[in-house]
Amino acid sequence: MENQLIVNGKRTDGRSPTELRPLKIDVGIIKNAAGSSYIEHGKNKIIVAIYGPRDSHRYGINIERATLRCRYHMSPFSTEERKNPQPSRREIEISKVIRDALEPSLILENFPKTTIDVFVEVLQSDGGSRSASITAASVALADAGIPMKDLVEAVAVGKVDGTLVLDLNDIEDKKGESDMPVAFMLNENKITLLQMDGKMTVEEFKAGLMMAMEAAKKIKEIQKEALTRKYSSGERKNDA
Amino acid sequence: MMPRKNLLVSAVRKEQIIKSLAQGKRVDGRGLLDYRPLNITPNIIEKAEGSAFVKLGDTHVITGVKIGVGTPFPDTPNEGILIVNAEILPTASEYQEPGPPDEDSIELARVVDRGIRESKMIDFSKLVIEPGKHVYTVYVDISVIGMDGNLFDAASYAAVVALMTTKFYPLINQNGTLVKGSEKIPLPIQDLGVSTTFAKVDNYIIVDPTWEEESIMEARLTIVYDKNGNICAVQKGGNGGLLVDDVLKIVDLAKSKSEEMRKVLEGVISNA
Amino acid sequence: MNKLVIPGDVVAKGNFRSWSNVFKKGEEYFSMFVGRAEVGGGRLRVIRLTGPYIPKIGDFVIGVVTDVQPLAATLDINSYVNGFIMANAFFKRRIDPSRYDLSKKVNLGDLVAAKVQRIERGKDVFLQPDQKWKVEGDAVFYISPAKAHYIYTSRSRIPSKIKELTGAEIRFGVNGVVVVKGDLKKIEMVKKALDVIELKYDLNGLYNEIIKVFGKDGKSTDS
Repeated sequence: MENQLIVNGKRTDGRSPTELRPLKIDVGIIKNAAGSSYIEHGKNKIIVAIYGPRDSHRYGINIERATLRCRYHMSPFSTEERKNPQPSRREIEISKVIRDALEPSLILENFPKTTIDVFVEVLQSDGGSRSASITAASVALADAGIPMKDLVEAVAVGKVDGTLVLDLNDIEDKKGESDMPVAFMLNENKITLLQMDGKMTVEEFKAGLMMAMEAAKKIKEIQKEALTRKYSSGERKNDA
Repeated sequence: MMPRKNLLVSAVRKEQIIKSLAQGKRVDGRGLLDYRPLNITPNIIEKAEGSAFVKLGDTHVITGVKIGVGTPFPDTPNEGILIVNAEILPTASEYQEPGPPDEDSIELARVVDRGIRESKMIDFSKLVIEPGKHVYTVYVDISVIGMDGNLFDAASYAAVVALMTTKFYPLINQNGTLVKGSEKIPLPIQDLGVSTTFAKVDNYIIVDPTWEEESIMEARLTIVYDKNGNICAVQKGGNGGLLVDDVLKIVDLAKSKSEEMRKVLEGVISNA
Repeated sequence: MNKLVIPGDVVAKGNFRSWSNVFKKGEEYFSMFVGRAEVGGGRLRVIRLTGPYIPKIGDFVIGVVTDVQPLAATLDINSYVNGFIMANAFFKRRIDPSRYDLSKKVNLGDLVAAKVQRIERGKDVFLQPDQKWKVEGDAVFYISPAKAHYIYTSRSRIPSKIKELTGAEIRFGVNGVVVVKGDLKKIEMVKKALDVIELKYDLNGLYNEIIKVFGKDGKSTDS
């Protein structure tokens, strides 16, 4: 059948239902930023820069802790059809949920009355760009030396052709039955992002959550390896 | 208070930069007329019809080309459309705020646009699907990811390499409907404008200024040369002035420098 | 023991008399930073390898003057907070701002050496100008504030060794600002030593790495 997304247990990109797409992270790619990272997750290519802590001007000042700001933005050339460079409602919502996913991991009390900015630029988008953005942003925050309890990693699960699958690609995201991005703080056994659209049974939802958590453990290893690579060698900051 | 838009270089650092120039050397070890290492990766965005990632030292620029269909302007019914847009992203520096393009981004887009248009780089008469009705729109979107001076050259190199390596599916008019062709074609390229930028710091003329150098310069001058050695776009920037003799000198320096950079760009394109 | 840790890594288990840059949950201590963990003698600490300069009372810093008002000068101290020096502190007595002009004393872009005197409400940092507060030099460099902090607090011999090996006059701010006085050759030698500090993350080996750059006779090894 033409519209089938899973044939003989293989997905459109050849993966099994529980397999992650290739995932690569580089740390410290932007000289001016306090911290930065670059992630390739499937066809997603995303840059994250952290600025701050810095003076809160114009924006609301919190006298007890730093204010976290987040901007998720897609480059006009990141999609099949050119995207209008102005932020869409979708980008504004994603900016917010990314901020909410990262904030629980950070110890912001150390920097009262300041702002920490997370700037996410999606150079090329694929399914799961918000999850990849969170994974990369957490690494960039660690690179910036923002105190945190744990890294945060995110991945989507969903239902495609009646099968529960991990880490949806573009077609699966658009044509599948459901999509559920989840972010974890594994040490604390906490979920910091959870969204879903489409339909799943309660059993599928529960199994999906566990599937995402297993994948998050693998992603965390990749995050740690990326940070270790930068901070154990004499690698120059801008060689990545 | 608006956030500071530029670096405040300390008096000691400024002296250090100028004293070094007096000895024929920049603080980063370069000669006065040397470019920083230039690294260009074409075709970095598979979803764009053309793309290039340029690293000029720590200035990082990515440009994507998308081809769309549009209605031609009434005064040029037989020409395709070029739209150049630039955004200095907030990732680029701590002084860049998120939001719609500011005056620096718009100036950058317009200078790159002029270099492409005035060098007659693209033969727009060949980008017509149906005269007066359907033409191709070439979108050139420039994103400055990292900022360390000389955005004009970095953005211009990213734009021209992305255009030179663009491949897209043509649209064919079949009984009034547009049908996608089966094989990708390149853009009708007929020239390559090469941008070079000089700055005057104290009494010295330097090429490819860093951000720090730009923040203490008198002024800068960007010149684009076409393949026949004609000047096809110029932009003076900075809040100081240049002596007439400086301009005359830079025009000559830019000519030989642009020939050098042309070879680099052509090398990248032929290997793409 | 001195090993690389990532935020969320368990640095150690058990009981310690003191700890820093980690948080305790149950028996376990987790790192809050990318850093190097040191465990021993009942003490546990993670030395940050990255992050901003965090002002502490008593720190010697070098800042750039970014604003001069009748009663105070504002300094960029390479941190998330600004430093302030009151006019009184410059004139060493209480002054009448209508008769004494602070802008005649300090200018925009001047480098000023000072000690952190007090920090109000966690954010406003007041500085006491150094005896020789006007920093004069031929070159200024910035190193990672986290490493600058380590170099100072660990009582390492690195600053004095760089001075000795290069023969340059150097003032190091804990905030990562390094000002050098000397000819171009000396400046280049200092830069070489600072590059080592920037590029290497094995803090224990830094001292020897710097010596290595200058070779046995203290001369630079590459041309």
